[in-house]
Amino acid sequence: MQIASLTTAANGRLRLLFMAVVSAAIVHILATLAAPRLTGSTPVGRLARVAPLHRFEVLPQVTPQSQPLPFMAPDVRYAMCRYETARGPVTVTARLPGVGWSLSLYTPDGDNFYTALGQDGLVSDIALQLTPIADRFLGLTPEARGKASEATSTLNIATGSGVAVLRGPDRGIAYRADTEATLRLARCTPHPF
Amino acid sequence: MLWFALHKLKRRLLGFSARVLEGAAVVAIVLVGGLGSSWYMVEAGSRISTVHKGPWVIWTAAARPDADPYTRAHFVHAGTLPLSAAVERMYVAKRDANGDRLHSSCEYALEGKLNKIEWWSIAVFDENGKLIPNGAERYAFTRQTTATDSAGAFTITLAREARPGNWLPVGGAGRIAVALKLIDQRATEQGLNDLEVPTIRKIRCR
Repeated sequence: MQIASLTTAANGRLRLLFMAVVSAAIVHILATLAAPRLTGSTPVGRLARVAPLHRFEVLPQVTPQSQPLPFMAPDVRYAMCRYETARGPVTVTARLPGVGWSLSLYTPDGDNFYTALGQDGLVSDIALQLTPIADRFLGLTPEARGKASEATSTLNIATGSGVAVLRGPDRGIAYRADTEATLRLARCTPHPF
Repeated sequence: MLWFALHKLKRRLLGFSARVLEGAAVVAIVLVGGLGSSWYMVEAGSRISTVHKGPWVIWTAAARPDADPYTRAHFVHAGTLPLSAAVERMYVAKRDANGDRLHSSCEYALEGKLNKIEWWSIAVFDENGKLIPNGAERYAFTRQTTATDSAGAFTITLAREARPGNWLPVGGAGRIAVALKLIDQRATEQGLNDLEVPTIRKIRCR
C-alpha cells in the first residue's frame, strides 16, 4: 500500500517535471520570437532622426559624439534615406566608385535584403526601383503611364518601408571632400501612383 | 483529541508547504530555463547562430532575411545595422587569446596578416559598442591605413598611452570590444572560413 502511494507520488513529480520542461521550452520560444518586438525601437527606427524620408542625408563623420548606432564603423562615411512605397515606387540611385563602397537596403526589422558592392578599379552606377507587392491594386506605375524610368533594375519588395544606406570608406582628410561629393550624388525619389 | 488535531494540522501544513515548494520549483524551471536560456542564446549566441574563431565571434546569419530568430533578436536588441553576413564578415572579440575579458587597463597586440582580403577594418569600442573618446581621434585601422611589414603582416597595439606603430587608444573605457570587418567578393566561402583572423595577445596590465 505504501509502495503504491510512493510510486504514485513519484509519477506525479515526474509528470510535473516534464510539464515544467515543456513549459520552459514554450516560454523560451515565445520569449525569443517576442524579443525584437519588446525592444523599445529597432535600429531602423532609431535612424529616423538622422535619415529623412526620400532624401539621402550625408551623416557627419562617426565619432563618439555623433554615433547613431552601436558598432558603427568609424572608418566609413554614411548617407542614409528612409523610403516608403505605400504611395508608389521609389527609385534609389547611387554611385559606387570602388572597393569598400556599398549600397544596402534594409527592412524596418533590420533585414539587409539587397546589397551592391563597389568593385576594385570600377565605377558602378546603381539605379533601383523599389516596387511594393500588394494584394490590392495600388495604381499604375510610372512606366505603365508612359514615363521613362531611370532605374536599371526593379526590386519587388514586400515591406512598405525601410532604409537605404550608402557606405563609403573614409580614406583620410585628403579624400574626404571627394567621398562626401560621391555620397551627395545619391538620390531616393518617390514616384506616386 | 487535541494532540490528534494538532498532528493533522501539522501534516496538512507539511503537505501544503511541499506543494508550494514544488510549485516554486516549477516556476523557477520555467523562468530560469525558458527566459534565461532565451536571453543567453540571444545575447551570447550558440552553435546555431555563431561561430567562434579563437576569441572572435561571428553571427553567421547577421542581417540576412532568412536569419534565425536568435540572430534577429540579437541585432535588434544590440541596435546595430550590419551588412548581411552574405556580403560582410563581422567578427567581434570581447576576450583575448587566453580567454580573459578585454579591458582598457591592459595593453594588447593584435597581430595578423590580411593582405589577401579586399577590404578590412579593425575598430575598438567600449563594451556597449560606443566609440572611445581620445585626443588622437583615432578609432580604427583599415587595409589602407595600417602600416604593415614587407610580408603584409601587421601589429595593432591597443593601449591607453601612445605606442609606436599602429596604436589604437582605449582611454579609460573599462571593458572593451574589438570589431573586425572583412569584405572580399573574390574570395570563396571556404576561403573566408579558412582565413586566419588576427590574434589578440595581452602584453601587460596596470
